[in-house]
Amino acid sequence: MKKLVALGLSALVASTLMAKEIKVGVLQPLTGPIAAFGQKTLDGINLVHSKYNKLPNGDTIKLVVVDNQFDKIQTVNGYKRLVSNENVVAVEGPLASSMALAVKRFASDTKTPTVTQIATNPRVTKGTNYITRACFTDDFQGTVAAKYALNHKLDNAVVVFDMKQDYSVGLAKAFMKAYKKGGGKILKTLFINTGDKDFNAQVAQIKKLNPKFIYTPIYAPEEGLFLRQLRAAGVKAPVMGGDGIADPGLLKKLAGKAANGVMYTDHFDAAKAPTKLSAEFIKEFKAKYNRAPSAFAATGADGYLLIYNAVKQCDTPANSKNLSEFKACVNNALRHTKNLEAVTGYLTIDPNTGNPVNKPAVIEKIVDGKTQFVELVKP
Amino acid sequence: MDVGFVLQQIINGFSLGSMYALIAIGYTLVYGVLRLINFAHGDIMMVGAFMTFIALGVLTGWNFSHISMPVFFTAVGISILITAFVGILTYVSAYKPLLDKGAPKISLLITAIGISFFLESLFNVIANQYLGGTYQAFYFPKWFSTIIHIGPLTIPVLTIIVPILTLILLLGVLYILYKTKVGIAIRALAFDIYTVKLMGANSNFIIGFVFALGSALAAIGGIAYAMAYPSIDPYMGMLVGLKAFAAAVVGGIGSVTGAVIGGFILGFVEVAVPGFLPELGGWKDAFAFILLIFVLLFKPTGIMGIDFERQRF
Repeated sequence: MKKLVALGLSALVASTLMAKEIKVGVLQPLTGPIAAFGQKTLDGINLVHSKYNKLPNGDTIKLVVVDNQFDKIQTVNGYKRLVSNENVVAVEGPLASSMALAVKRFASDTKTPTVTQIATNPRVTKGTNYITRACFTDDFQGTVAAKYALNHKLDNAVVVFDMKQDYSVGLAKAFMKAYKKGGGKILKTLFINTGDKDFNAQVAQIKKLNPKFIYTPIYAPEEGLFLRQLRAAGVKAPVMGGDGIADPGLLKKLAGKAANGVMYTDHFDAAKAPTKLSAEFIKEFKAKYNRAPSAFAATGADGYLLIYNAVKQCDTPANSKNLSEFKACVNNALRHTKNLEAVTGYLTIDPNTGNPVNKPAVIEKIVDGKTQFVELVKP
Repeated sequence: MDVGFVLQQIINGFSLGSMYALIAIGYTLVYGVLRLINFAHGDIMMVGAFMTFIALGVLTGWNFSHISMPVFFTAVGISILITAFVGILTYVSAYKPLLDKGAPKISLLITAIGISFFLESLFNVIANQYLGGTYQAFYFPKWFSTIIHIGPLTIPVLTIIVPILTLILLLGVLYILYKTKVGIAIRALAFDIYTVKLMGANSNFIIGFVFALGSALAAIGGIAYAMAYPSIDPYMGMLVGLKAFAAAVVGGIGSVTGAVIGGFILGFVEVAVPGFLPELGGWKDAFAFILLIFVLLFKPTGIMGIDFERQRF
């Protein structure tokens, strides 16, 4: 008996000695203007990480979290630190398109598999083999918005975009292309700058043009005040944005009653769980954080699940000795993900583009201060 | 283009200009005394707005649905006091040690930028940790948004109050500078800091007073700005501070009246460009600064251009 215990103990000691920690970097905006998005994302990542951190051979995955502050310099520094000092096998992030574009070159140079879970600008994955996306692109998101407008006979529109954000410029273009193709007429494109608080100039023009539809691919802090000033001026046309304004809490806080009726395209609705895993995720998320998971939490979880799935396939004794081979294997596995059960649905990555295939979008609407599901749009 | 529309734009310009003016006075006072461009001054305005928000929250138990006038003005009073104190604190903790060591002005400038980043980051942490997010909606009694109809004009009460308040405060500052003992001391200090020290005057007290006065005015400007555009965030002071600084320069830095005139000009341009040339609305900031360059081309020392060898403020 004693012998048996000793044997068991030594086996345990041996296995813990052998078991390694594999580091995965998380680069998200945890402070700064869009900190709310980053925090929600991290909640989602932490939840799936607490469940899926053990690999079949006993190794564990450790997250190294770095705050990029929604700032290009912090993003690049943080990325370099994760890659060179922390020796991570993969990075999840950054969240915003302009930040993801800032690390694109370093991802290629250092051959680091990088999963941006929610950067939607098409250019993010173009011309590199090392950035993989877990969400749909703005080309699709813009098309969804254009189709929605045209299906509801809203055939002339004004587009208001943020000149300083790659996301906003790209999404505005995608919308206009699809909208014109479908027979819609763009009356005018107006621009704003990140941090603007006075939109009366833009509102005055919109009032004069009297469009049937207003498309605003900007971020929530500007959208909140824009809506307030737009409705105060008496403009009643429906307003729609992209996932950048998918922060109903902030919109209600900044716009008050003017937030009612605004629509946006989003990645996920907690009321419509597409997979078994997402139903579980939503239940556990509600239990842990006392609220329903947002699209940020869901895509954050998806990004981690993609990496976990790839690391699981690549964690062999041979790979664990050579970091660069390990990374190459993870990248290859990421790019060849097939039908992975995740939170926003089943993920299949196109190995050539790094974008997921057939990722649907949901359209949401704020009604009486509450978010309401409008429809699910498949590509 | 009817008369009503033009009048409306003029009133809006006055209102926005007043907010810049209130902040610009602080730049000009500190520059006059220390020859220091206090780049943290824009963030002091943000502190004023945030402190009002926090004080209101504490006083109402974070229920902003109904705010009575006495509660609001108590919060504003608390905020002005705290902001003035923060202004003094920046002087005592950051600028004074450098001045005592005879550091060159450029070191002070860098310190000012450092303080600016420090305040932004500090309030970012406070907002995210305790207030639930970087962006906050700013609440105030509904009376301020009451709309008055005068002929064709529709004017919110706030738009009229702010310029009047600014002019009263300007007179107050001029009174302090020219009719009180502290004011004489401030002007003397601005002439020759070393001689004033030799004469036995408490220069630290006087400079501290200047910082407190400038910060209190910035707080009022910040609160007015937050009421006009009811969303506050830790970075709101950056661009507004820069514009107020430009207003101070165009008015003639070192001149209090000039700061107010500069503020009004900037406010007018910013309202007039989108008002009369809506096509160019998105470029309003660019236009405001182009005008500043023009003014400076013809009057390099600013409109009220001060000859520092002869006069102060």
